[in-house]
Amino acid sequence: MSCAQAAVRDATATPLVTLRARPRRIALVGNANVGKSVLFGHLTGQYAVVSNYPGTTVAVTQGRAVIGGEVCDIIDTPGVAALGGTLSEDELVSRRILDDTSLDLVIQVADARNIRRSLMLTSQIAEVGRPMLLVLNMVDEAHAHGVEIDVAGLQAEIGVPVLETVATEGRGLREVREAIAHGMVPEALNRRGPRDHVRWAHDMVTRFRRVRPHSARRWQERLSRAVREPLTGLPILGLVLYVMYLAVGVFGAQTLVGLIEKGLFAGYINPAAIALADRFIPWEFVRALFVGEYGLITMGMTYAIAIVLPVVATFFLVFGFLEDSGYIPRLAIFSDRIFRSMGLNGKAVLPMVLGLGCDTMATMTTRVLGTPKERLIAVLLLALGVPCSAQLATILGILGGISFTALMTLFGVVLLQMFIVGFLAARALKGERSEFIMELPPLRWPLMRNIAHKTFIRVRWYLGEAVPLFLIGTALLFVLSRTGGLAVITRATEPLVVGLLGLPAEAAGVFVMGFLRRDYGAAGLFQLAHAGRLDPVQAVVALTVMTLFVPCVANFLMMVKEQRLKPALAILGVVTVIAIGTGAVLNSVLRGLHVTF
Amino acid sequence: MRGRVVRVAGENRDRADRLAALGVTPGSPVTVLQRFPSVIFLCDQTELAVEPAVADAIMVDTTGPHDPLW
Repeated sequence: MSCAQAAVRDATATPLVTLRARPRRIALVGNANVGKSVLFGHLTGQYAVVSNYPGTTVAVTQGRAVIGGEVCDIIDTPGVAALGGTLSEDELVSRRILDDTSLDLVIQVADARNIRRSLMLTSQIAEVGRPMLLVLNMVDEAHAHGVEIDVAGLQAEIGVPVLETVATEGRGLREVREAIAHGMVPEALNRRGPRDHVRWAHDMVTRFRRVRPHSARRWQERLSRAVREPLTGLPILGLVLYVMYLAVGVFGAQTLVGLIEKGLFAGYINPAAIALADRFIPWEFVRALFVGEYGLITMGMTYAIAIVLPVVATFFLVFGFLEDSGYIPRLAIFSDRIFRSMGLNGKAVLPMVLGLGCDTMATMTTRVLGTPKERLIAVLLLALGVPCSAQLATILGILGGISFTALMTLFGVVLLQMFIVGFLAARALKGERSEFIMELPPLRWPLMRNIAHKTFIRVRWYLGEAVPLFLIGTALLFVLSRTGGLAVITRATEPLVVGLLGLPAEAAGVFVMGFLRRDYGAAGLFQLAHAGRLDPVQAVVALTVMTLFVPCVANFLMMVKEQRLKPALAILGVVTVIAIGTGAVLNSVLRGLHVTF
Repeated sequence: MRGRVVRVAGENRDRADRLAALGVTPGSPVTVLQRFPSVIFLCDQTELAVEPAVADAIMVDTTGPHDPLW
């Protein structure tokens, strides 16, 4: 310990940049949900998405920083429960980084409240034999729960620097930066030969941790209980969904879209663009490309900015709040039984709920699930039934305006379909499901700064990814409409679209758009509905088919990446058949019963 | 119900490993908070939710002395 401290003092006297053949490679490793990504953000100045649930980071992020005169590459890794035994896909990623011989330093980040688990991991990391630091994060919460840790004792026992931080507030980070030059191989620990990680951790906890009586935040305990018990938890869940509906479906999809679409775009931008085009563009073809029926501005930008952006932004804002509060993993408590009959377990609620943000990202998050079978089923269900934020809001926007029954019909049909498909897939596919064992992160009042930052990053991502695709899609539709291709598609699919689904023929174009991006198709339906081209039954059928219909191109590519081409194509086929089949049945049932909503 | 973990019963090695990684190891203090719809218990300072089959396998000694302050 004294040695480490002397070294720390030395470090402050060497401010020059040391040049080396390559940057020092430093990996942040630790249990899930301990704050690795927060620390990463502080050390590198780059933002990695931070939330309050395990599994936010499922892939590696790398960033460069100059620390103590050394150029360093900092690697943020997915959380691990252990380094041996059965590892999930994201844990394997972390294991590989630890085994990489070019790694110079391991910074183990630990939750100070849960040092028993952290120390079991420390014991395993120590065996890798690399220089390391141990950072005890969230010491403020630990203190609030009466946990006191003898840092000096622990440091001497392991033989590496041990530091205390509150990373979200930046406390203790200067010390971490200084200690980075002085990570040590945990020789004091390894000298004693092979050990039982569990017993060693237990021994350390008994010797170096004290738990005093605490007046822990009472509201936190009460809320935690209210949320998990069925009698209070289910009404709370209903309330959360209702607030989301008000925020995204009413405020975002109706108020904001109304302001931006009707006010800004229909009132100023589009007339101005049309006037400019009429004046300066002599060729009808080019004019139509920009401001025609399938114009880049009048259609592409209007969809992207006026219809989808307000909805996506409000959704990300509310969703960020839920993520950081620690509420989302608690949904697993109520859904575990249902997911088990679908070959999954409660943990699957994470990718499903994240899918409401973006199915592509959620497809990647299926890595947190335990077995290949579970991952395949989850990817299938995401592709089949989980609407992404923009789609969800268009659903709310259109059907909310018709009736509550219409809305419930859609959700009922989609959920039932997901359940049937999951139930059958669980029996048809080979393999096992893993058992439901899940940590519930503490409930916290979210930091507004993090929510704002996260929403900003996500909106920027949306603009960067979606707007170009919206424009490409519009250009494609423009070309198709000019060359007569659209008419061919519309005619070819007419028996299906008009005959089987009972929709207007131009809905075919909307489904083509839906494959490019789900939200683009949804926005198309929004316009059709606004133009009075869909009666209530048609709206319900069209939206149900669109929700169940093929995932967008980005999601499909991610499916190929996560599951390989053949399963991805199989999912695509299954989903298409189910979507159209369900739509046809729904159409004839609704028509047969003379439902008008 | 509170007590200390004695062992995780059964042949399922994977289950025992996963529980151990979350801190459910011999000697850890546990308090059961809820049994339905999932079993929820506090182990050390961590709140864990598990399915009933898993909870049944965690053998807990409820007779021994507890930390008076825990």
